[in-house]
Amino acid sequence: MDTKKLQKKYLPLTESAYYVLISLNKPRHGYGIMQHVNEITAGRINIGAGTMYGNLSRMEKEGLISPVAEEDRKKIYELSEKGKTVLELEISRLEELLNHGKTEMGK
Amino acid sequence: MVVKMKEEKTVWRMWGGWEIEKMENWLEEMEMEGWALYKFDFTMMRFKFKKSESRKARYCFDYQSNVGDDYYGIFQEDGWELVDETISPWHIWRKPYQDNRPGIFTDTRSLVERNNRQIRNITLAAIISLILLYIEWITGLSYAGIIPILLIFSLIFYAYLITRIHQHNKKLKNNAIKC
Repeated sequence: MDTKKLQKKYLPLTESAYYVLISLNKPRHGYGIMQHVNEITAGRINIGAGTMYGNLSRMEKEGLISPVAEEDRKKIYELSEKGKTVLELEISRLEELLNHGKTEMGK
Repeated sequence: MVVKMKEEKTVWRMWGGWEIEKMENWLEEMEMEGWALYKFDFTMMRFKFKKSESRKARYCFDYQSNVGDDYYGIFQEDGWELVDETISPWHIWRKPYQDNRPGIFTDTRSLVERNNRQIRNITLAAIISLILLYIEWITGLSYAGIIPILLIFSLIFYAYLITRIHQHNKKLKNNAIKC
């Protein structure tokens, strides 16, 4: 899939989707992602269990993440190549937003 | 209708998929009054409670027809307890809390997706009713009978449910737009 198509289909990511994807740069399971996101955002973002499950099953179906292992009722996921590309596109989109804000506000 | 027994009580409630928040709040109030839900059935209209200690507990409704083991894993690790194991797609989760009221859906998208899962199943039921109605019509069997009338009523009912849930989704999406 080319860049244009990926951008049109997936961007902008929701805040939860963004944090799920960046957390899966390392293999993690659902609850592990919830804890990690809570930690790195100092409690600002709490992803609920239902939102977590919804994101994981949608992203798996879309091939953005892939299951790498399963241990006692826990599915462990990791970012796929496609997921990595989408995440990189989103990060450059966010960088552009941030840079525009800084330039326009004279910082 | 409330049937009171010694340490248990049963409450019947009619509700629709667009009133989930109201139902969740009601169960939370019941738990505060010392009535903990332990069973629900009859197409989610009959709720059975056991006398228990009053406590703050959040109730959340999910609608899932087909989930894997990891679904339960994520919820349980996060401290949610499944109130009752049923074959119904409705899953009621409960979690006691102190200060911050927890929830299973923390963004609008996942709430809307849950409601869309309801719409999908109702649509499926409507299609089945339509097919049955069509079979009735081409075979001419019991055309004036009770079955076509029931099917037509169920179709009207399904259309009503879908419209209400759809309107509710629109409201959720509008509320999510902050500026």
